[in-house]
Amino acid sequence: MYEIRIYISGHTLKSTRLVEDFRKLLDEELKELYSLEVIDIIENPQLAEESMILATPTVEKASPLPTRKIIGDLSDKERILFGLGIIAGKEEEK
Amino acid sequence: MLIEDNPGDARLVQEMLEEGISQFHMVWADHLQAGLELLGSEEIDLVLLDFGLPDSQGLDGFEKIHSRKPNVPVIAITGLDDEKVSAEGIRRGLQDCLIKGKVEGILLLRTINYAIERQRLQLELERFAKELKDSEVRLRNIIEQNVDGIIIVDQNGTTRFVNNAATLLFERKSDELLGQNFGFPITVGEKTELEINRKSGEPLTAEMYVNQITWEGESAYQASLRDITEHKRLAEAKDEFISTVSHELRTPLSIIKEAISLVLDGITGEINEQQKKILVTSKKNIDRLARLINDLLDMSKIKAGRLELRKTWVDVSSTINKVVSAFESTAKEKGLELITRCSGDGIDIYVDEDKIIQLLTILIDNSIKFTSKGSIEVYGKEKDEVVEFSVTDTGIGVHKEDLPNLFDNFTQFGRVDGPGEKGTGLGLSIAKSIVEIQKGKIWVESEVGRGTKFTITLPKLDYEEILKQYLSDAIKEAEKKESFFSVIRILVLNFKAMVRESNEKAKATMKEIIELIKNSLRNSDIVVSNAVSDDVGEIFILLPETKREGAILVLGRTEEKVRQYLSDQKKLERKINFNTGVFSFPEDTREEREILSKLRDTKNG
Repeated sequence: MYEIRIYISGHTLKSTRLVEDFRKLLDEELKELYSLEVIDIIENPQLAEESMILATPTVEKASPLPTRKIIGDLSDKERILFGLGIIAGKEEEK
Repeated sequence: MLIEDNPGDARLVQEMLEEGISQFHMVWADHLQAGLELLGSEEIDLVLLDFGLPDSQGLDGFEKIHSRKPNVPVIAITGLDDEKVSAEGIRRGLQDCLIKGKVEGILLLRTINYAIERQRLQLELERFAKELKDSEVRLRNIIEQNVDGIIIVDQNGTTRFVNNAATLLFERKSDELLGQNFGFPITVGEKTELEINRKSGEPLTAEMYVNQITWEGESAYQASLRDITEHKRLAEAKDEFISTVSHELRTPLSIIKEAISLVLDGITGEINEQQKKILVTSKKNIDRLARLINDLLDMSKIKAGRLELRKTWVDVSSTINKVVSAFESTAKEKGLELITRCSGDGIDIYVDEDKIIQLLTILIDNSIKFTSKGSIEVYGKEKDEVVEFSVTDTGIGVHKEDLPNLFDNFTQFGRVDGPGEKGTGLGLSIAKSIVEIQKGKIWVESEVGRGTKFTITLPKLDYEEILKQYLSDAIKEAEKKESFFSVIRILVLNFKAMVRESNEKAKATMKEIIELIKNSLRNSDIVVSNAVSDDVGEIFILLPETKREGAILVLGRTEEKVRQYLSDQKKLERKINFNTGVFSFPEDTREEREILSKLRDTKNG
């Protein structure tokens, strides 16, 4: 079971779309094997401070350990999954 | 130089040094102070130092020499076999130690040579190290003083380096940022927008650009962060201003125009000739103001890159006729002849028809304005890779020196008409932008007194490109409206054979089939086909807001119609067979690429 958090700055059209797309990606890749928590760092600045979120959008895989974070545009599925440590990467080939 | 208090020992060393082919010249000092003075006045390559001098004992003398001339190698001559002292001396920079009484000529020479060489290498090494450090400092300074925030993260997303600008951006000290998990950057080599979580909570938008680099021997990422908050704010303010202009100015203007029209038409009561004249002038100027506002809006949209194209499959010859007919009465008033010449029965091109209408309107309007007698000729022709059209007049022409500036903003030349017809000077600039945004070309030829000719070429897009464009537009539209659409593919199996038999007939038949399909569809449905231009008979039907079952119904109906049509066509020598496929968005797939490949995969005969 993957425990995933997505950090956004305010509920804007853009961030809503981003979360929706990301949820779709997780549905496809992880089926029901994940939980997604959406954290608005403007509403919850202390949560952002605790997890040391420096910018949004950031996605954090809180469990299983080790914790992994990815930052930026969530468009490249391969790199998202690699960055979160869900799949082994083909980084070296790039 | 030898520093030695015993004259006998000194002579001995001198003899050893100056023996044979020795390249050394020796100066002698009998106590340390004298040696230090000589060190200041002479060019000394090496010092041989006795550790037992009247004014100095052991390492103390070496320290004094070394602190004055650190680059001059020193060899100690000790009375005792004192390992401890010599080891300590070498640690502090002494080149070597010799034991008094055990020194022989060859050994001494070799020791001296080695000491000098060792010293030279050491100096060189130090120089290299310093150069390396300097260049690193220089590089660091460049990164450090960069106005963009720079963060270097490793493969885990952990911060390994931050520059000064980055600390300012985050409002966090570098030790608060270093070693933190910034995050593994998803996009490399392209820009992405981030909202920075500043310590103060003040919003800041940054544009991040990530490069893959090597940092301390490991693969890492360098992220450059540029503050675009102000830039975004300005862009938003500009957008807001534009929409204010469009709504706040246009609405009252149309009300005024309406009111003047009412008075002018005598609906509110009789008006005399004098009043009528004034109102006509007012109305003309209101029209001009409206045009100016529209032009300004267009221009700012173009400049901001927000001019959206709604491309469709357009028969340009009918577009030309449409625009030309709108000018017929104006031309007649001025006694000008309007001629349209289009080659072929139709020039199909994938463009934004509204923009082409605007473009032709600008050019024809311009020509009529600057022509007092003669004709305006509008010409359309399909070429190999482009569609070319031109507007030629027999007007006053443009001076040669003015030609290069003709497409610039707010330039007007040789204005001769009354104030009521004045333009904004933006027309040709907009025309140029419209052409360029569709990847076309526009140019002008002119001769004063003879007339002007504007020529435009627009590229004919590749069929595959058009198809992809339609699909991605449809996906965007459906996503925006949270809607759906379906695509039908009809493949004519023996089209190639048909073409081989008679190219003309095959294409004509396909064209008729496509017309037939078009006629049985709704207006919003789109038919794309390459059957008219290629040797594969493929027809795509795009059905917006249609689910799979709906699409299957449409397909059944279409197929029946086409078969009916074909059975009526007795003249066909060959039986035409079809393969069909249906795909729905988002039921079957969300991916643009998958739609095409799966559709073609289903039953590719």
